[in-house]
Amino acid sequence: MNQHPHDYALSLGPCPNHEYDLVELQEGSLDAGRAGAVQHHITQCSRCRAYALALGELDAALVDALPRPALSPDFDACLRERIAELAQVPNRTAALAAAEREYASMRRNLGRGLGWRTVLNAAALGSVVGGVVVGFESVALGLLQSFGLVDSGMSSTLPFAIALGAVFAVCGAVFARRPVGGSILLAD
Amino acid sequence: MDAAIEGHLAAGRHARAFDLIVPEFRNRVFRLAFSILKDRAAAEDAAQETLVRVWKALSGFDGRAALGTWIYAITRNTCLMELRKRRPTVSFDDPDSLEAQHAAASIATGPAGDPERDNLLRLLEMLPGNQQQAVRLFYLEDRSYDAVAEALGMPLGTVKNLLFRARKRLMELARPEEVQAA
Repeated sequence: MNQHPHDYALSLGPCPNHEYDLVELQEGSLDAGRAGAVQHHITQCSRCRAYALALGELDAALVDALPRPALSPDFDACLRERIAELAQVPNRTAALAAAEREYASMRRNLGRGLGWRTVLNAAALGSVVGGVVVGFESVALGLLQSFGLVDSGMSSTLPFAIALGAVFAVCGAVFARRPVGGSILLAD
Repeated sequence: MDAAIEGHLAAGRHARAFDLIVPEFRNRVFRLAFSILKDRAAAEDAAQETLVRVWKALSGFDGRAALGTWIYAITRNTCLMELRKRRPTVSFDDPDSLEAQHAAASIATGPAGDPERDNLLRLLEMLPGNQQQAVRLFYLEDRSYDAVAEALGMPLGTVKNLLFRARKRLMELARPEEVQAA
């Protein structure tokens, strides 16, 4: 920047109430009415005149001095190459999401066959059937023993067989009353 | 152009949106990176890295911020990471920092043999970092306050004030010593 002829006036600085106006005037962003007033002030005030001149010189000097680099011509090609490389590598997030989807699907499929509801219903059915079969067998055995058709030595098993049949029947009834998937032993 | 990009984004056509983003933003991203890094090659690398990050994150762009605001934020973060790589701790407001010295060295790679130009750039390096950046970006963006405000993510008034104080300080620094003594 050239040494200004009005260095002394410049050293004093502009009038404080015109400082912003001088910048906007130099940029051309001051409205017309205000610009006229400031320009008139400049003709009267050596300090503001020197400041306005210095602002213009500084602006021109910065325009000349500051580098204005440009992108390399192959910028787009390099970028495309990088993007293409990245696109070939499986996106980790996408891969993780796909794995999670597959896992959820597997769980759903597994759940269809072995859900709590199915298991409990099967257990209830099995218990009822088991209870009926064992109970029937016990009653039949007792009747056969009463009629002397079988060895009376087996009569000692009758109370046990009846009790076992009753337990199965009760368990079957309890499970059968919980058909919505809950368990009397485990929370959902 | 922004409307076309946003249309593609809204429709989930991220690749097509990115094809429009690159020509629209590459130079602006590069200029912002240069104003921060003050080195052409580093700025170009940062611009590449920024656009790759944009490509990766585009599917997650939710439109809460303007696209430009979002891209400039990525650019600034990318550049700050680059500065941290250069030095563990960086002070943007310390003109005597190693960063400032590095910048001065990189500027010296420009056209040589103009003492006035070199002197002005030396004075510029003496400004606080945010004022330096505002000045550089202001002239890179053809003296557009709006462009600087958008790129730096600052209110327009803040940018005007930064530039006002930067000019004032530059003129004080440029004043001949004998006049300052008078």
